Amino acid sequence: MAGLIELVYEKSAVNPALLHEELATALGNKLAGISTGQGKVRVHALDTIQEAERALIEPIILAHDAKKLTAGQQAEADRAAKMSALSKPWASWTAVDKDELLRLVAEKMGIGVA
Amino acid sequence: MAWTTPKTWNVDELLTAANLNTHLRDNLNALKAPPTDHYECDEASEYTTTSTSFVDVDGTNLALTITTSGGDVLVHFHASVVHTNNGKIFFDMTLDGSRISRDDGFLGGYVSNAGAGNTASSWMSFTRLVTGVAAGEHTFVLQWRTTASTAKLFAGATTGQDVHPQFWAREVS
Repeated sequence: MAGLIELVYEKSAVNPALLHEELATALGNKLAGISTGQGKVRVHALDTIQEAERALIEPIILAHDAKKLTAGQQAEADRAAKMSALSKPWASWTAVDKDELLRLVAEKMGIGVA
Repeated sequence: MAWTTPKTWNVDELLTAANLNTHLRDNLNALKAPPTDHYECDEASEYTTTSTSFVDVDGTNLALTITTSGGDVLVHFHASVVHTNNGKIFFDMTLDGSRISRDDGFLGGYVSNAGAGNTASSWMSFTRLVTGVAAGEHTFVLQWRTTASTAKLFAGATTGQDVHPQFWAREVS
């Protein structure tokens, strides 16, 4: 069974979920994850990682934009915005609003609707 | 002041200053100030991990080194944590580079979604008796992992969630 190695890079602003996705695209299942803190990114990779794969990491970290969101984060942000828009007095709710709430709740519960 | 195994006193034995100092004074001092190390987080950024294998939370600061007389060591940690996708967070620690526990560590469970502002936190803590630690210098390092997505540990860097976890180890026997 392969062990883990840790590669450390300086980077203070990080969206960990997005950076994980970006690195996973390059490293596949050789990426165990990343950790952040103390202004550093620590990449946890299987010790079977090749030099060529290792060389991919730093450019990805340098290019990483912490302000961007993953698709999942964007969907969650969109859902939160829609929920926020429904925060109004019950008397002003329309039938469309009620359908929207039902759709959002169903999505959240994983019984999604198209 | 290191602990010295107390001598057995004999009938009619002459009490010497050296023996009293070594076996009474120094041992009482050792009990008053046992080998201890602690760290309280007050960082510029929180800790996060996406790792599904156990990794150090912070191998520099959340690493405690004590020189023991040999025996049991009590280790404690408490923190506020969140998870971005209602996943699990597990904690373990290493003693001199080897994980103390096995499998999923010795603390873990589902943690609530970070929610708006990343402040819907849960609380996790452990107090662990590590038995049979040999005499000498030893280092305990806090480790964690998650199941998917991102785990976050608040370390004193978020307004409105400016909490300060503590990690400590003390020889107790």
